[in-house]
Amino acid sequence: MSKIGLIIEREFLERVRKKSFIIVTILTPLLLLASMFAPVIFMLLSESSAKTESVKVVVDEKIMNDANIQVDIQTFQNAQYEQQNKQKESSNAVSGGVGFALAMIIYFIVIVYGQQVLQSVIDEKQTRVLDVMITSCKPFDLMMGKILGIALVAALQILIWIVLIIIVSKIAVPIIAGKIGIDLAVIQAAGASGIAGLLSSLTNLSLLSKIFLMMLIYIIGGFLFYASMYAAIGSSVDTPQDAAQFNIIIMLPVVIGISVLMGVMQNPDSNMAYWCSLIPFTSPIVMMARIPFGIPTSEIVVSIVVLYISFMLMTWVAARIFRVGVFMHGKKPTWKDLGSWIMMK
Amino acid sequence: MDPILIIENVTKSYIGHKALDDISMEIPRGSIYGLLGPNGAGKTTLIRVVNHMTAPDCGKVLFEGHEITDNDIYTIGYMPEERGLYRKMKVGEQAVFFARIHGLSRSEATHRLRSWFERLDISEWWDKKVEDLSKGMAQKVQFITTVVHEPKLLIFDEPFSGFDPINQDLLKKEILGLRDRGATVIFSTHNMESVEEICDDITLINKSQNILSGPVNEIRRKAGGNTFLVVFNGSQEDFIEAINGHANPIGQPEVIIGGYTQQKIHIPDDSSIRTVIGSLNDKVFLRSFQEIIPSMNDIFIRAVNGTL
Repeated sequence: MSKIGLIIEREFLERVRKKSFIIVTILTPLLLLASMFAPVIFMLLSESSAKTESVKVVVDEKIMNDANIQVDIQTFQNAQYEQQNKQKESSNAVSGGVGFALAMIIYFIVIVYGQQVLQSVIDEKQTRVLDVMITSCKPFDLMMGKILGIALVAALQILIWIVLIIIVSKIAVPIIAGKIGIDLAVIQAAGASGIAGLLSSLTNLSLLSKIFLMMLIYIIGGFLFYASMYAAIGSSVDTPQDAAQFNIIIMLPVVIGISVLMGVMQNPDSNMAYWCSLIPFTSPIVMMARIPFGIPTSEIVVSIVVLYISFMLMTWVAARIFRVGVFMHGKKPTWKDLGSWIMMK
Repeated sequence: MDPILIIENVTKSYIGHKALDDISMEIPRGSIYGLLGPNGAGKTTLIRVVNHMTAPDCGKVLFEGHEITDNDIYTIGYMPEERGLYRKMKVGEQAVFFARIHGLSRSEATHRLRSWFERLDISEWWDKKVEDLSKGMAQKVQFITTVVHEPKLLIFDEPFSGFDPINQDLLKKEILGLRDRGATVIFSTHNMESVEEICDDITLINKSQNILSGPVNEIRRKAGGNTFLVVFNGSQEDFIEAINGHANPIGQPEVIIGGYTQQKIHIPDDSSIRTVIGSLNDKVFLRSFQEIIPSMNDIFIRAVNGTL
């Protein structure tokens, strides 16, 4: 096996064998479902009013058609136009909600697993294993091995979550619902007007699968982009405290991404939204939030190409910092140092 | 013998002080080479320069006749002074990982490691976590992970620190064994006894300069400066008369247990040694005659203090 393969294997096994991994992997979806279950019940309570409204509309139209009442065409058209507008607005709200959720998932994955890369490098530096490793293999192999090993852990964890969520929602929720005496059909109806219903009302299957694919592409690109930054930072400092000063390079764009997100939900085609979905620092978060609104494919392709080229560039830069950083001890590097390490031959 | 490693005029400065000042040395293939020096002399820096962990300001390091490359370094067995093992990993698994990083197959690594663990009497630790080991125990594991892939060149930074005398002895034997199987070993140390016992050659670095270099036997003999200790029974006058013209007494004679007299003498010319012994034998009752070979400890202290 190649050295990078060995390092991936080691990182992966060390993490997935930990008790904490098993606990977190099992508990997280349970907590998530528990917190989703509560809103469903709340939704049930507000269900009745929504129903009457739609019934009223149907009745109105029926009356209009049946009675064949002469209506001023202009007024009717106006009404229709208003209704369309209303529909579009509500579908916008749905897209916004979905986009926000997707963006937050990406944000969560990139930051949580990226931090693990940082921690892993710093740990290795503190325990001096790094000294043995860097005299045994190329710094690039070590860095990429760590990043990919942790990426595999992330992939496994997310896969388990998806499976668990499906199992729990298909099996456990009906059982629980039966126990507490809620009519399942009502829940499903509520669900229909909830997340699943919103999704199907605004999209067809092809858009859903497109969103899923995009999600995958942006998670991978975004993670590799940020993880190599984390690795570079980890290599150049001795303690997590020292890493804090460099964390801003990661946290700042992420915070900008999140704040732009709010604007995106209002207006997905603003200039700000457009540029932030091109710039690789924010594109995974912002573009993901825009995709549910229906974005021209060309725009998405450009954004992805930019992200993947930047991730390769960032890996290259990170590897150059890493290669010097791993040998540095006892001195807190400055931004200038990092810059000169990149240029160093 | 052709050297496996040549260090040529290596200089390295950190801000405010010079860590290595024009250091040159040649490490003969198949030898055990001691790198001595007081704390902060620059030994570890020199090792880090060889390992490409630090770039020298000038000078170069040749390995097998060519300038040392990263790929050469990956083949060297290196044990840093500050030992590093993955704390959460099990001992055996970890050793297998390092062996595989150095190119052994999993089965070969396991096979060799089992026999090493047996030899160093740590077989029962195979499934323990590193964080549960004592410092000395972890040292042994680190030693094994350094040597298991049988590198041509081994570099140990302070290999004996943290070991009790029994394990120090065990380690010395293993290091000698590695050399006998063809490896070249470089190690830095303060432990002068180990230098006398196992080193073929040494370099003594003090204040970033190479102040003494060469084969241990030659250095010790030279540091002795052709002084001899004579124990005899007889009159002082006869003794002086016997050595006259060939040797000079050093210091005052001492009377030791059994009524013998003990006197240090200096024989400037090697060819006179037989003459001196001959005439002493005629004049006094010669009990013993031996060259004074200073210990490495003495030489170390004298060299560092500039009185060698």
